Amino acid sequence: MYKFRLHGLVADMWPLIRIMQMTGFFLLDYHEDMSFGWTSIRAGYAGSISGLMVIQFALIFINLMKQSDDVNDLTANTITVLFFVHSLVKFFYFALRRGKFYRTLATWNNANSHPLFSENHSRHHATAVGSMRRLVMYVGIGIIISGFAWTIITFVGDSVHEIPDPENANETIFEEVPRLMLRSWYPWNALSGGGYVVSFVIQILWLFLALSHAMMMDTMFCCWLIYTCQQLVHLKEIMKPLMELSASLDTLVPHSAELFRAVSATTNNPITSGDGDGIRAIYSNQHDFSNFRLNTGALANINSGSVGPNGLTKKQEVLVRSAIKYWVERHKHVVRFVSNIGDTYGSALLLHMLISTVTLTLLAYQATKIEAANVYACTVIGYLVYTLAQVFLFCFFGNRLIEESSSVMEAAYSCQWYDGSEEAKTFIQIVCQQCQKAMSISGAKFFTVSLDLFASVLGAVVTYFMVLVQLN
Amino acid sequence: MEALSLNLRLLTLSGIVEPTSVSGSLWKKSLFSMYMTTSIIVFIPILLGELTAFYHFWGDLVVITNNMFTLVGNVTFYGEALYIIARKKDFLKLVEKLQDMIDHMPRAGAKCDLIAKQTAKRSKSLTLSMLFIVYMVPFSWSISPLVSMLLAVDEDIPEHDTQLEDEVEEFWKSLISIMWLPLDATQSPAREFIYMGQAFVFLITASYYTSVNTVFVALIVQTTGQFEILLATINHMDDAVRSQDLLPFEKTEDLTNTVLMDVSEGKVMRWMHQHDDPTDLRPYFVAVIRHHQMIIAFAKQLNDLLSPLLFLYFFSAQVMMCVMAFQMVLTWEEQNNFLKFCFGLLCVLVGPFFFCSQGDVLIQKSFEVQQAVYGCKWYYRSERFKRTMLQVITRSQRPVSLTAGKLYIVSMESFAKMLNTVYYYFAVLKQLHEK
Repeated sequence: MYKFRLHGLVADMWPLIRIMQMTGFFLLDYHEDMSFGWTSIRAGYAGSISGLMVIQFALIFINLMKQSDDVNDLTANTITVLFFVHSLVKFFYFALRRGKFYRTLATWNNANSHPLFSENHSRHHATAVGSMRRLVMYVGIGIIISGFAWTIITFVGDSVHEIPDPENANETIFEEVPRLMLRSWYPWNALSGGGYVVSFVIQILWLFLALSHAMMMDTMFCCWLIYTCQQLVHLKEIMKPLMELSASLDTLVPHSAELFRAVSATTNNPITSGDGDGIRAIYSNQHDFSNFRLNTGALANINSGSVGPNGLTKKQEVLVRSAIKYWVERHKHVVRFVSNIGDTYGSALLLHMLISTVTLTLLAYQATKIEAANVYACTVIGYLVYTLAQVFLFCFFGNRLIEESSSVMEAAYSCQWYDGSEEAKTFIQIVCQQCQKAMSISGAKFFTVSLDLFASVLGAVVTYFMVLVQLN
Repeated sequence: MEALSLNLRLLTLSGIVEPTSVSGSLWKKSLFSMYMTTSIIVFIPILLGELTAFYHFWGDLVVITNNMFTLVGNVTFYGEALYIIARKKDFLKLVEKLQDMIDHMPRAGAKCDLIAKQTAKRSKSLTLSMLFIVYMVPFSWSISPLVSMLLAVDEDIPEHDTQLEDEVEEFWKSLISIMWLPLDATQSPAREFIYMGQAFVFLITASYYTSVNTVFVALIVQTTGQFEILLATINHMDDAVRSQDLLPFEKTEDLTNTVLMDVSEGKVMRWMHQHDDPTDLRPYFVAVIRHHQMIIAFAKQLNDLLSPLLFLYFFSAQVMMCVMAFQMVLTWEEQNNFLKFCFGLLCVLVGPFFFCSQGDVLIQKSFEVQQAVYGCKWYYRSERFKRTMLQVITRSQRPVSLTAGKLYIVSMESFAKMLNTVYYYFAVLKQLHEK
């Protein structure tokens, strides 16, 4: 009997996964009852929602083709179409690449652990989960507010559009359009009565679904990045205790007088070089030595010699090695996770940026036609803010990842590595070398997701807007 | 050398590199070099005709851009072939070095043979697709006058405004590329001769294009394959160096330590107390480092040969792309000519694209060495091993990349930049034309 166990990343991201399942994504896994009947019902639900999305989008597109004579109408409709292409693209991207998403979500199912660092780890894990849930809440609130704002603004102002007067070719008259959120073509009369109510209900459902489809995938990506950043913070914080653990006896500064007295008293002996045995011979009389033992009982008869060449007891050395192993394996796990994320979501980011570039260009053009603070201005500014906010969301978290991963090297350098054993020092050296390059998410190798990208997008929009204003 | 066999055969067919069967006898060699000289002899009048047409039709943007395509194309690819002939020794040394590297690479596990097979398949598919796309150009450009001759049998020739356009119209009906000759090229028998000459030159140019470019793309793919084998070898290191250290877990050990260990790995107790490495670790790792060094040296040698060639090639490819895009936009309605220019654009795009994408893959693979070396269980080994490993990591943080002259690094970023430049000049051309 398949026992469904909620563990790993799926447990941490559970509210988001449930929301995605409810809004119709093809996320058919992670249910208790995976019998064929229930799975086909869920698949049917997802399929019917995808059908609704495609059909309504196609109707909007048909409306675009029908109204393609007037330039203003064409531009406005194109912006709407491009705006909602995001939702369709993300929905079907998820459906097609389900396997990769499942694999990324399953990356943290078998994480290693170490008793010394488990408290720190659980603290950071709780922080990560809290941040993720808060992000999902904020994004959800944003979607609901946008949806309602859109609906409310539909009822403000006249719902008309200009067409050339059929009698007089030089004049334009106002023809009535259905008072709906989106300009769409319906095979029934949507101006009044039953047809209007049906169209309104379909549109409000579709609007909320489309907005959530676009944003939920980006939110999942940002949640992954939040988790990664917290893991990196955890790794940085345990560097210091690890160093303290391996603080070798070499750093115990002896009374220099005693040291020289010991040497001068045995001038006939061969000069002891600085190797382990020589210094051990000097120190073995100091009673401070015993404070560094982890147990006061007899040393285990593990190998010959009670003290290794790094100056630590056998137990201490073994402990340090296990801690280093935990650190390195956890770091490798994080790197693997980041490359999974990039693999899974990189192309979606590329498509998003391509579509957004075209949308923002058209919006800049529309913005030059704003004359007064009316409904038109509100809608254009609303579109602009929403599109830029979408890009800002993933650029912000991508930037955080870059910053966190490049600060690992500084954390390695700033701990007291000079107090550590030789082994710990080599470990620090390798970590510094390995973490010189920051980990980043790239949009299918074309660009890096960071705040630089957002700045360049914003700069391009502003430049384009200025140029168009000059030309007018 | 079986990895590059297809490409070397193409090179011999185009007359650039002698086949091995020829190196014995002198008269076979001279026959082969006659092949090369014939193609150059036929090329020279055609080149002169195109150059004079350039001068004759100056001012007519449409004709000039059309002419530029064939002119630049022919000059570049003949140039490529001559470059390879001039540096034949270096080229043959490079092929030998690749063979040497393949013979001496560490073969750890069955994965290496699989990777070698995959690499060979990839280079073969790239070669064949480039062959197909490029040969469409001489095919379509040669067929089009014949097709238009067939179609124009019963229709009337419409009147034209200028005399220049008239000339050009006539040309397009019968010949492949635009030339200006002292005789009237539209009357037979001159027409047939010139047509044959032009078709021959186009075919030879296309074969030079494919053979030279595909052999270098294949070399890049082989280098990438070597990197993949290196990665597989490094990943296999921990398993391959299994030695006497793996004694079973002894219960007589002091158990106060076990709570701090990975109890899933019973063998770790013994490892944790080792200070020396397994005996075969060092020779294995040294073999890995030597392989890495060989790959880097090979890439450098390849870059020395390839860089000037790529520089010229990228530059002329951008010019040709721009010109072809312009022509395509102009002849949007006419099916016949539009298809010609479509194939021409595709053919010019495919070359830089293959180079840039394979160069990008090479850069990515050279970075992966760092991850692979870090991914071995180095925390179990001695300080000596860790210090050696650090050197390898430091070197692999610098990518192994190819350059085109000093201007471009062969990667997808450069390809995107090239497309940007092409679009920019295309927009400028359109503006000029609309004036």
